[in-house]
Amino acid sequence: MVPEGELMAKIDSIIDKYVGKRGVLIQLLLEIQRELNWIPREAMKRINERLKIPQSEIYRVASFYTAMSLEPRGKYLVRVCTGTACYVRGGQRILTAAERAIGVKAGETTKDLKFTLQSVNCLGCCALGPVVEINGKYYGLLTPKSLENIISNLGGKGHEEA
Amino acid sequence: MRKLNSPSDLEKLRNEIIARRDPRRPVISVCISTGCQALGAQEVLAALKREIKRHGLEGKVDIRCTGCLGLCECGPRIVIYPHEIFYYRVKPSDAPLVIFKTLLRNEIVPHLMYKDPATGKTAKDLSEMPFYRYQTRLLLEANAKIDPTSIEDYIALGGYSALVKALFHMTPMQVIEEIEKSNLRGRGGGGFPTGRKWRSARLAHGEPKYVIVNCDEGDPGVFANRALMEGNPHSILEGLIIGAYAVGASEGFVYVREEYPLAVKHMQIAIEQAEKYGLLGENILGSGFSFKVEIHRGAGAFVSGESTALMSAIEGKVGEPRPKYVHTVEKGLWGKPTVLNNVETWAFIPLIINNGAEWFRSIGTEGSKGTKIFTLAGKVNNTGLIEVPMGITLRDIIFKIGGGIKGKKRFKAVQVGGPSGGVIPEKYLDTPVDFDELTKLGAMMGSGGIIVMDSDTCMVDVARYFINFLCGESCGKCVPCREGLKQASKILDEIVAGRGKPEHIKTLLELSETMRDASLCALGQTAANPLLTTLRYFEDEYLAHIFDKRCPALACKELLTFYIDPERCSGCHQCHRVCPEQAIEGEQNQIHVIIQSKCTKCGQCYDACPPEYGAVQKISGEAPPPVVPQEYRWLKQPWQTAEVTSTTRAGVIANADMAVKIIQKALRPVLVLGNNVTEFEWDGKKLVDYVVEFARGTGIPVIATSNVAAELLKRGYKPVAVMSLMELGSRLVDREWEGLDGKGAYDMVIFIGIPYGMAYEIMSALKSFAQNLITINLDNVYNPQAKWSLPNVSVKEWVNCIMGINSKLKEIGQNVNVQRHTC
Repeated sequence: MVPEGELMAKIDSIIDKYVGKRGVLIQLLLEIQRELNWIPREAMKRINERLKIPQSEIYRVASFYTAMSLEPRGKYLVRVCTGTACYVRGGQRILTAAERAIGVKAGETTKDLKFTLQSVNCLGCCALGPVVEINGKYYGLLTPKSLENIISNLGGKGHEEA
Repeated sequence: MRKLNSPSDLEKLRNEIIARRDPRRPVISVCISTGCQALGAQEVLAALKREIKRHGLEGKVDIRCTGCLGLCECGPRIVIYPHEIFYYRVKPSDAPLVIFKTLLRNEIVPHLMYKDPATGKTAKDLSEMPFYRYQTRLLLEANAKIDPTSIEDYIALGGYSALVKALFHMTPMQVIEEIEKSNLRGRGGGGFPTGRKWRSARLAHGEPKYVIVNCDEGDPGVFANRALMEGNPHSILEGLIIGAYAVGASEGFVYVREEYPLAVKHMQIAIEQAEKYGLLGENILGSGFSFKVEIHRGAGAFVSGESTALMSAIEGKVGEPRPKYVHTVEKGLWGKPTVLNNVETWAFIPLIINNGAEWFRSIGTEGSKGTKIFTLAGKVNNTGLIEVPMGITLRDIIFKIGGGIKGKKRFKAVQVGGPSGGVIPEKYLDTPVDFDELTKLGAMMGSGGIIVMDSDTCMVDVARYFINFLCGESCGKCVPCREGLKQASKILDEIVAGRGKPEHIKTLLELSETMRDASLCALGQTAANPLLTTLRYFEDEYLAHIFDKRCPALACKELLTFYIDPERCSGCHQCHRVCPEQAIEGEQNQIHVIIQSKCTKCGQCYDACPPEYGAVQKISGEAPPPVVPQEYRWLKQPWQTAEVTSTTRAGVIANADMAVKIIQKALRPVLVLGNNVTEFEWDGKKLVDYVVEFARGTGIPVIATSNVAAELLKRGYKPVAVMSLMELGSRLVDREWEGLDGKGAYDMVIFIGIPYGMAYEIMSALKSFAQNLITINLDNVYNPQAKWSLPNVSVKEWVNCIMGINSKLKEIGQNVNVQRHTC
């Protein structure tokens, strides 16, 4: 965990870039999400203090979008596509396999903050379904087995680091 | 890099770029769009670079990273210029061949060429590939020739000449008139005439005005906008600048969904480059027109693709739609006149300005002009991105371009237009594809997703999928959409789980009507489309689920039962290995059985069962046949499970007399010779010499293992068979094996010269699983697993014993084998 002072400094430096501009809330929250991998309560408070945006509104935006997380996310964000094309090619089974391999349900994070599992609606690789994206890398034409291999190579279940 | 201050500056730059380029210079272009990257394009790129370096070709060959060409399933794709050789499914390990053969020696690497899966023919160029032959690629064509991060590539192809034409040779009104004349309709889904939208914004009061590119391509199953923005961002940017000039906007936004990082990156680079060249920013090309563009990243919300919601999102608010009593062209972003168009619409603008409205009108149907990009996905052979003229039939798209249905399945339906679109059955496949015809069928053009479904797809499940999707994405602002979808989703969940009630269908229809009439935005208004079309064309499937508790497509998990057909099961154990629930009973060589109470119906055993057996069966609406009782499940006796402990051990053959007595009793004996007979020597002869005499003398047929056969043949003796000990073992335990001559099972096996460990295992297996067989060990080491065995003896005693048996049998005058066994 980052010490609190450092965390606040980081949040402040991100907010600095957006002071005095209009319509920045979403982009600001996205940047905080990118930098910290989640949006801590302190960050929302800080935005409220400095940009004079009501906290209720910040919370509303942060809880509306799937890209933003109000809980810490794992090191690996595993996004399983369940878009139509992947769905008809067995995307749901890939999701089940991922849940089994990682040991959490879709939308959850492992206790060691290693994996967060998400199901997303379309990654735009429909011709290669079923598709999974892990931290920006795409894996196409998957089978439950090949997905399990990928997860275990990243240190999934049974290989957890101490 | 210098700033361009006039159209002639741009022309000069273009000529310079073209002059700098040698058309004969080899170029390898690698597709690095998201699709090909998922298949390892980056690794291929790195391997190609390594090879180029290894051959010292750096600086002599250009590598160009390009955008998507469409046939994603066959990626990674590379093209080698100047001869335009297309290679598909390239692996990093192919790089040496590509460089050495194709680049250096101008030869083709056949296995990388495209092979038509239907005819097996190799295609030399795109026109020979059915996937491309029937397409008209106005927008996508340039993707192959352009490095999306290089503005020079775009300029070399004539880029920004439409901008010059608009800025310097046309008034804003003339631009609008040209677009109106072209009859271009918005590609985002609704099909609203673009020119009319622009005119309204131009005439609306309020300053400043805004233009927006909508790349919030949220429809699952669609990636046309991503491919365009990743592959050719400047074409979109040029269209946007022209649009801004036409409506009088000074600021523009590109809204890209969060899931498309590469599109954002390429657009960002494109904007920076255009600014540096003076094609964007203050006083563009000295025309006096100023325009700036900002990228706005979405944050993962489907509803934000709706125009008013998208504008709210750009304003930094929650991306929820608002009522459109006043159109956004009058009061849009921050209450100012705003034109929002889809990526594809913007990309058409430079083409129309350059080629004229008449050219554009010559393509397409009466009501819908030009081409349209579709994402062809699902159960077709060729999946990917296609661009076709409006008016082509769905049948042509699916069967000519798409190459028909995957596998040997039957076509069932096609889903057109994403979640708000509808499902179209086979009888309407000959309908021409345009905005109005699709709407008549209850579907819509939408974002251009075409998802083909075969007989394995359940239409109720498809409806449920879309309704669930929309339910999750509904922003919740208006009641009909929020609650209607929730209830519809609940009912559909009940139906696919086999708990459907007859009145459900009526309720679904009522909900659909309310959502259509009373929802705030298009999401809710069109949400019922998948429901209504499946109900209209596939009502029988709903009825089967509700009344028979049966899923005709065998897709709805809760209504399925898996079982293993005992007649077809080969005991290969594959299903047992993949079953995540340990719900399959059985060992290798046993008929496997699914324990229904443990089965979660994941279907993994169904996929794992090798197609030549096809033993795992899926049924719905009926009970599985009774299972085979435990004791009848053995298919073959597993001789490999050797070393079965037992309470008996081999009787000792004390002398040759005793051996003769045992052998005499056999009706069909066989002699198995192992490698050791060629190893041991006695009295200047190899053991094999004595054994040949023994075999000749007794007339017992010989099966030679290992390399014994050669030694036997040298001595003029021909064994009846050569096979490995393993194979022989598994035949001997097979009760139905009729022997090598097919005249009946053997009743005795005599082993000589088998390495001890092997003999031990094989005889242990035979003892347990071929209990009628008498095994005799005539090796010089006592083997407890045999029925009878020599004790531990010296080689001398051993040879004497074998010869002794031989002469005793001769004395008796009984040739053990002669009457009973002829080979």
